[in-house]
Amino acid sequence: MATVSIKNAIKTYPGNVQALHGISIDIKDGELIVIVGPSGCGKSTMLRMVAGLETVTSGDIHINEEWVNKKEPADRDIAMVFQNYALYPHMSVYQNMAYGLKNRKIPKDQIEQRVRETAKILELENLLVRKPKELSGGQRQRVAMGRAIVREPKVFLFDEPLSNLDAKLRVQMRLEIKRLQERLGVTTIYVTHDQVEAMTLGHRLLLMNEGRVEQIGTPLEVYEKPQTLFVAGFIGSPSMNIIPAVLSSNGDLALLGDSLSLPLTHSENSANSDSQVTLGMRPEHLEACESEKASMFLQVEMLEKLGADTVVYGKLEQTELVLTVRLSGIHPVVSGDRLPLTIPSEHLHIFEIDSGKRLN
Amino acid sequence: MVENRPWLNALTHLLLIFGIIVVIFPIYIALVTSTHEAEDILTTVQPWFGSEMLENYGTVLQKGKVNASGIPVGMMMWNSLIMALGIVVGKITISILSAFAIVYFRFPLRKLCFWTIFLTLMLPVEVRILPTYAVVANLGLLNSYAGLTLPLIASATATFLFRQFFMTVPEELAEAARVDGAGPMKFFFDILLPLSRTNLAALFVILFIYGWNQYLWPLIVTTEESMTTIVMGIQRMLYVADAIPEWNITMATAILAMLPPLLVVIVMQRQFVKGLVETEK
Amino acid sequence: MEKRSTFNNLWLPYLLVAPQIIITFIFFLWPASQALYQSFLLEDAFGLSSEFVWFENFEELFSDPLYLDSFYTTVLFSVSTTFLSLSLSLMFAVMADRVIRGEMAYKSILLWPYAVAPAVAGVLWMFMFNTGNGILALTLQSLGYEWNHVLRGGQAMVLVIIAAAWKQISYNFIFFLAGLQSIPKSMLEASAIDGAGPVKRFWTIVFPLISPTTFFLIVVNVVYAFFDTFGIIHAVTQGGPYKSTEILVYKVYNDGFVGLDLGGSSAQSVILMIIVVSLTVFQFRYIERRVQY
Repeated sequence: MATVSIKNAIKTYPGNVQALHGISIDIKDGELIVIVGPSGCGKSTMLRMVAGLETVTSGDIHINEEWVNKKEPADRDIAMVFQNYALYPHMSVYQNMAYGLKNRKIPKDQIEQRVRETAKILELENLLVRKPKELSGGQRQRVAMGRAIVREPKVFLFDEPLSNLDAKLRVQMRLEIKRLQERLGVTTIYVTHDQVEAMTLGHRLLLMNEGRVEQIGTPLEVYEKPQTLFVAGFIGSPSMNIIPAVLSSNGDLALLGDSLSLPLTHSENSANSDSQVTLGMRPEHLEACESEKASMFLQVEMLEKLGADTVVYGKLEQTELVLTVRLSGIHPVVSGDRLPLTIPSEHLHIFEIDSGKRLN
Repeated sequence: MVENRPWLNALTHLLLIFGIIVVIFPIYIALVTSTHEAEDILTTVQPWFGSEMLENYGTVLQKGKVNASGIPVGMMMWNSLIMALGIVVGKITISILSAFAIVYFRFPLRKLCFWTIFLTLMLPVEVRILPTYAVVANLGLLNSYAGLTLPLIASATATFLFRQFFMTVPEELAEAARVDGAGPMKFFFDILLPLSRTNLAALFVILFIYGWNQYLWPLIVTTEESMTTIVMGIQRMLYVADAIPEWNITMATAILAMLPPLLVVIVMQRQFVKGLVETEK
Repeated sequence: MEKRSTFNNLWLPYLLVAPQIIITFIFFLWPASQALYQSFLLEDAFGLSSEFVWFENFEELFSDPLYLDSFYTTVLFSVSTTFLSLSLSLMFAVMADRVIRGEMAYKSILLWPYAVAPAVAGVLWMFMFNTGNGILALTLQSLGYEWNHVLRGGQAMVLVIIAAAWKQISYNFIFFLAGLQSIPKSMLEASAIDGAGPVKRFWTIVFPLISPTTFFLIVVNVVYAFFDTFGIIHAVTQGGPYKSTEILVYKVYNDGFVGLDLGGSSAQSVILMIIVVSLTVFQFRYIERRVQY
């Protein structure tokens, strides 16, 4: 088993295009880290640098305390699952799984034993003689994982392994990966652009944007205390309402427009009063209430009744601010209604305007 | 097709049958002629097969045309086969290796190599024949199989075909192989080569025909009769002052000259069409 | 287009390209540059000394009526061969494209001539036109037309054109058929609904749509007629009678190997190189597909 440490990793492509601006993270033994971010944020580059498929411009990568910057992928004791699986099309499932072991000069009977064991775990026993093109998408995915598992590597690397599957299969395979990783306890780095996958799989998340780390934390930390505006907007669905606001001197939070204000109880608020800030409220934290208790009213414009939830879109009264509200269950509200809303003050997220850094 | 008009369908078949006749008729005449005695075809055309087939082909294969050198055509075919296979194997080997280098490595002189290979596309042997002959002569390769094949095996077309194909091989396959501990040559033999099977077959057909049908080059580098290839050997049979022109023997040789490449085209038709179309991409 | 992931090795790539580069250098670049160099030299009659004469060999060539005749012969030969072969192939391809039954049989046989060496194709047709016992010569004779290509230059030209075009039918047929099959059926159906009959449809829809293929084939056929037909000429007419079928490639060979005029032959080689290079470049400009560098 192994730890992985990345220190100030920088990647610059020819032509001075900087893809990574110094990424650092320490990954514990047996931990599953999900690197998540929008496409083009550099997450795959980061993964490929750990794999050794991409050179490191500067910074250090250690696997189990060993400096691996200059090592060939094969010598790093890692295994990788690719987005398109990259199965060798002319080899059977068995040969695909055995290839890496064969190259490492492992005795034939051991290879046989390990491939059969792995096939059993992944329920591939009956498919061992088939060629990749004779398999379904889900089965191919399994073979790709089998090829990684059979090697018994120190680190698993997953590069968007589920993005070629349909929605239903994706949920199923997600659970399977989680179960496998827990069972095998192998340190894992998992790259995805899908925040649901990230939240459900990761012990910790590394959120990236434009080649920079936005936040590292457990799924709940990331959800409850997004450290930047980017993280706040990226995690959660429907995404967080983000509106301009002003901090008043008495500690209340004034929304844009003069008449609306929200009470702010948090004492750790580090912003100066009377300063312009950005306010974030998750749609699911806005609650419908009695008119007397309401701190704001929503002019309802559109509804999505999903059964489990009702998503309400509308404008805040007396402003041009658009809000999304997620009410649980089937709510009797109709379009044109005036919906009284409140929000517990611990669910207010305040960010600095320029830097997007969290203030409370 | 879009509409169904009986007269149009009839015309279609009629024209295609005309096409078939245009293609087959010369071959048929040659085949028929090769089965008669020389006297029977001196002043008339024989419409149907004669009885001398075995006799004529036996003579041709073992003795050739006595008045014109008398080299057995069997020997010429052997020379042609070695030349054709030499060209096929040589061309494929050097092209696939250089395409592999150009696609899968970054090295300082890569572009220069690419353009050097590209230049060969523009220099068919016909236009540089005298100096090439001089080079081969200086290397002492006249009248040798090496002299017959080596100058013909550099080919930009085959290199481009492989390059094109390698570019379509998913990136991740090479990466997976690297993670699996395969070095470049292991990747080449274990993965790239098996994946190139259909391209290899297609190229084989095209290059075999190309090699077998060479004419000008063997004509000038072989001066010894024993190195004659069959396609150029026919020419020597044409201009001999016979008492009786032995057209039966000449035509039997022509049939034997076209037989191997024709068989390859017929048996590997699909690969042939693929090869022809792909090499022009 | 470049591969993202490549292997790291300092010497291996050089080892891999070496065979091809070495062969290319020894048998292509070196001879080609020699041809270029020699085209500026004039050798004395005994081949003992040579003198650098700049463009004299070229000037001489272009003032030589024999060379200019050969140029004219080559153009006539290539244009006729290309035209004859392309029109036949196009007709067969259009028919094969619309035929439903027996398609495979027709197609397979139309591929045969590709396998036949140009020289052998020449011999086959030469025999059929042989005065005295060739089936076509005899047929023409019975119709009152005397055929003797050994004596008549015009007939010799017709003979080599037929043989050269015949050999090229397969190649053109394959490309035309591929071009025709890539035309969307819906487009033809739409024009049929618009009331265009089959003939009109061909000239207004199909022919314009396959024009890239046609263009490509014209270039390929001209190159073929210029260079690959040496075997036909050498085997059938030896450039005769009276040099009436002496195309440029044949003349290079004849002047160089038979006439031993080194400078003149080299100058001819250089001119041929210029022709083939410009044809190739022209083709690339137009079809920019093969090279993406």
